Amino acid sequence: MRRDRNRNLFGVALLGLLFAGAGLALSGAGHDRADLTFTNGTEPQSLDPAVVSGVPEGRILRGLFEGLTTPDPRTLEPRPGMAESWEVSEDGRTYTFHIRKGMSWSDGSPFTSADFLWSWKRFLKPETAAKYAQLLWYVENGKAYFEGRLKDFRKVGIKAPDPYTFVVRLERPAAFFLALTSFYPLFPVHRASVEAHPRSWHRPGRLVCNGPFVLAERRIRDRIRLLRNERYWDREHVRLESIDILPVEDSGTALNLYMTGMVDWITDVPNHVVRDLMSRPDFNPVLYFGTYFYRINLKNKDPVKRRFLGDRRVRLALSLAMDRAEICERVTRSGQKPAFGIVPPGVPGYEPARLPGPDPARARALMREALSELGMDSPPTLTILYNTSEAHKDIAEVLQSQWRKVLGLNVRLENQEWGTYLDSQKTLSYDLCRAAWIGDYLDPNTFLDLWMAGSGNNNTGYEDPAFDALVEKANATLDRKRRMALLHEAEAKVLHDLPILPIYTYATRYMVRPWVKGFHPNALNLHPLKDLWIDEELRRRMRAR
Amino acid sequence: MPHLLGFLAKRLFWMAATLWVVFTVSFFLMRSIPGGPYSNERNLPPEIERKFMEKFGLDKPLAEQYFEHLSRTLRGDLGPSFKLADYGVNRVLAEGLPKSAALGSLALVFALVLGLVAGLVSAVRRGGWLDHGLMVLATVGIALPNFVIAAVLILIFVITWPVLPAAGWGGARNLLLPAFCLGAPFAAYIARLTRTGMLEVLGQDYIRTARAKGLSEARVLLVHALKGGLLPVVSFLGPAVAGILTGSLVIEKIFFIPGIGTHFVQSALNRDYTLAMGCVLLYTALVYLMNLLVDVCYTVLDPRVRLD
Repeated sequence: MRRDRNRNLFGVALLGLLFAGAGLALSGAGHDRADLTFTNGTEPQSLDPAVVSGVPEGRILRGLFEGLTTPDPRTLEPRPGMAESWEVSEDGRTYTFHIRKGMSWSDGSPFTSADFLWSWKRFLKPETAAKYAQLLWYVENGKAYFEGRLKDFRKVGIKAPDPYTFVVRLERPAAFFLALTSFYPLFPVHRASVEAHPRSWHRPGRLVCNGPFVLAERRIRDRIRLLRNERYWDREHVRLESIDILPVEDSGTALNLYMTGMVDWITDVPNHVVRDLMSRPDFNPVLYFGTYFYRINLKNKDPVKRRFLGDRRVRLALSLAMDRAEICERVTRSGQKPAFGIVPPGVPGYEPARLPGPDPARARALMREALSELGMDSPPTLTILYNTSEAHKDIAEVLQSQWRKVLGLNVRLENQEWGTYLDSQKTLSYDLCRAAWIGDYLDPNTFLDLWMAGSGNNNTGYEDPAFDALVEKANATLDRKRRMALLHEAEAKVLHDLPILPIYTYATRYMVRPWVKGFHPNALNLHPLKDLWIDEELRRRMRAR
Repeated sequence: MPHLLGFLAKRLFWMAATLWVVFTVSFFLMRSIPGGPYSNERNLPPEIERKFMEKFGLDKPLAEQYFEHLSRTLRGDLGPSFKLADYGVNRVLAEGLPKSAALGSLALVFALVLGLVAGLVSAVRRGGWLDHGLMVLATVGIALPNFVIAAVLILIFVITWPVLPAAGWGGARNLLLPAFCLGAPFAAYIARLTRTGMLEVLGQDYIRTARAKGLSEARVLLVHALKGGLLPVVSFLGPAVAGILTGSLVIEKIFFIPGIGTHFVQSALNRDYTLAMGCVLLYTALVYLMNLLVDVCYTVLDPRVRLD
């Protein structure tokens, strides 16, 4: 009997342990609600602005830190940030920023131009391995210092002659440089805390920042809480006291949280509900500065396909045979627009270059002509490569059927898991490959320098010195109108050569509650946390309903 | 007692050996798939990629990386995570495991309570409508993927009749739906196993003896028969517990639970070598320990079984 009791005790103890474990893990997880809660797509890779490269990271970092300038959410033009004003020299190479006086970091230490000097030096240091290091390659000797060819930082074109002046000298004029100063990789970080805790300075309680908010709490894949920074220079204009950022990856889950009132803003919605959401006032897709396109491999390892796709008439025939409107109307269905060029609309003063619209007859004629000249009886079977996803598959299937119908072309679909797909793209092991590009700053250059010969993101084998020269000439041109005309010419050139097939221009997919104010739709989908506020009255009224 | 200690020492030795083999195989498998932690839709310029590789020691010969990673792991440091760059792998697992374990524990309680009761009732009412009904339910539970169960439950308890939160981590209420979804297929298995085990035991001589002694039916069932009937359930529970405690990608995603199930899959897709290795080693160790526990439990439940 005693052994029996022992055995029963054993079972009871095991069950008790399970419950105790659950209780322990749950303790301390409770939360009061923040003023604003939003879902952010994924867990940020890091809160160190120098080493990250993603959109979710940007949303948080723009709340914690501030650069020399900050984008106006209405116009996206740079407005004064840490710098209250700036001048550009006649030759377009020297930028002099005047740092605001009397500012301090969130720990109370004074903020000066030396903070920018140190942060940009750190950003360029090879051992930091900044993913966006090329942003400062426009600076005089910036690339040499990054590569370690130059050891003396004094020779780099970044200077802080006095505590309130910060001077940047560029290698050659770059008309978009000012826009880069509001981009998060170039945000300053706090020297004393980074040096004291090189591996953990970005933890809550340690992170010292200069932006509108401070980091109060961070739990992996759970939440990040920001609180208003009472030492921020413009704190009178920051109206939110607390923000919760949830790294929800599943857009269905995000929608459930939104619909049940647990979050105020979600950054993405699931594909299958998009059509039902279109009638809601809080779902308003606007065109977004991004293009969905296919790459064409011009250096195919298969000699037949290489000759086939190497013929410009074939590539043009592929484009003419595509009905992009069908994709937007039947597949994506949430505000996307057919793209006939690589640069999305929305850059002030820029006239985008455009491919001709669908023309099946001409497509067939071009294909026949090319085939007979290449001495081919029929076109080789091509493969469309995409990373595994229903959305990409649906688009590939539409194109597969359009090309078969118009050109009699046989196309196979192949999907690969993300990492493998990226590798195939990089090593040019594909025929046609799904791709996308989202602009970093509102300038055509961010879509055009991709196709230059040395660009790491070209991935098509396209090389044309005439195109490279056009882009370089445009970026060295100070007159905005003239520069935009040259960029237009460059885009027309790449569309003529067609190493890519543009498919559609992205649209935003966020939903936001009407009581979130200061939220302005814009082409970069930038919504600085600093400018947001909550209409409590409206929230109460709508909740009551 | 010395018997038990010797047994444990032997098993722990084999566990270490298994972990080493798993480490080695995973290391070379991970490195042989295309891509790397620097892969991104946005390719890094070659110069930057090189610096990144240098920073994380990925430029060294594979053998050297292997021994470095191994010796660091032996010292108890699983290394820095590539994709969660602010944290070490130890910290990522330490934050995630208790959450997965909490969810898993609750799921296990659901599974055991529902499964055992259903199995017992089925066995006693063999051939009756209750037996058929419960077993059909169990089959459905096994066949339905848990994201379907989750979708249906969310529709009922979150959208139509809003009594539970849609997702998130915070309180016991947040755990009810995910724990039920996670536990449902296990409950179904346990029900079937209990039924089979009980039916086998109920036909044996010692049960007849117990009944002949005039013991109450409840006592015969719950004390004499259940102990033997539980054996198949216990052997199923070992690996199942390890699986349930290390989380589930699907359930964690749907209910936004910050456990390690997501890390498990995401780290492999992201080529986060160190984090993926940490997850694999942790899972191996847990499976091993749970099986060990099962073996010990066997001797408690069945006096004929001895440790060896």
